[in-house]
Amino acid sequence: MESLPRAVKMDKTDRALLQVMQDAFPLVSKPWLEIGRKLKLKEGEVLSRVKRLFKEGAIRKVGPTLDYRKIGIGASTLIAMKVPSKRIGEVARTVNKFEEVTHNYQRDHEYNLWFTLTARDEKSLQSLIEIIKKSTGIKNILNLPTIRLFKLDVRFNFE
Amino acid sequence: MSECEKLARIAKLDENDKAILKTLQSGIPLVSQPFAEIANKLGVGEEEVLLRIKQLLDKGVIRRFRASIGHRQVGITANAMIVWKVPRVRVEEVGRKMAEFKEVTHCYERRIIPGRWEYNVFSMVHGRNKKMCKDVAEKISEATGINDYVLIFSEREFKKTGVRIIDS
Repeated sequence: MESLPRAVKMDKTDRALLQVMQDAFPLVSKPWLEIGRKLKLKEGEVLSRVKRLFKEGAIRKVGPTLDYRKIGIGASTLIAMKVPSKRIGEVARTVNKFEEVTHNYQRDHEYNLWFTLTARDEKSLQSLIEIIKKSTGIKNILNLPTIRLFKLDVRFNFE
Repeated sequence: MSECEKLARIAKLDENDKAILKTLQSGIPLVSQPFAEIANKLGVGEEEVLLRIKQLLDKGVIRRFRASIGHRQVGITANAMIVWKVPRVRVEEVGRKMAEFKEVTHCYERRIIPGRWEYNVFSMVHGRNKKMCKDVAEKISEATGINDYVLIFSEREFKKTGVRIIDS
């Protein structure tokens, strides 16, 4: 569990680099060279900037995001819990222990703990929910699976 | 493959595809020729790795291949889950409109639980601060005519990982 990380120092070139890196990554033998061409930077400079941004956490990784429905993996859902405020840390830690939990946030609402769950299939997902309810002792939960996805495109504006 | 075929089919992955996806889960190495390095590790050729990634993209198994940004590290500290009560007949139209806003990163229709939870559309908005998120919510409300909504800000990030590919 983390307190707010400090914002990374970035110059104009770093920002331009981050902007470009949110686009489709060049699937070529020397991708950094190609990115460098777009930004008029040498391959070496692109790489050293990327490594610094990675070290600071501004870039988490470069890689694929998968559509799990396409590989027939599983069922997922969003769970909201109403947790007594003095128990929030402890309950969050218990929930985090499950590797099927991918995102877990405290939010300012009477339902104050929100997390996403992914399991092999619907049956496993339902058992997992019951196990989580038992381990945390929290019965007041909302199970809010997706009916329809309209958008999933996490990108930010750096300009 | 047409869009319909792509959507209908569950893609078959062979052992090489799975091996490549597993290796890529932690991201590409930050070296001049990252795909050559991955190919070396797997005992296949660089061309093969690149070709398979492109095929997986084409099949829709890979949705996107790009950098994921640490939003808090870049000063995007406010994260609002905006939940909306949208009449069922308008969900499709409203959902599409919300998706058009560049500030909206996620937009879903979710199940409701009558009597306990009635907000059926969720849109995630990130911003430098809470005011920016509220301004976006107002813009969306105006554009869609939906006035019954709540901004639920995140206060603490307890966990944020990707889904690990489950071994079948």
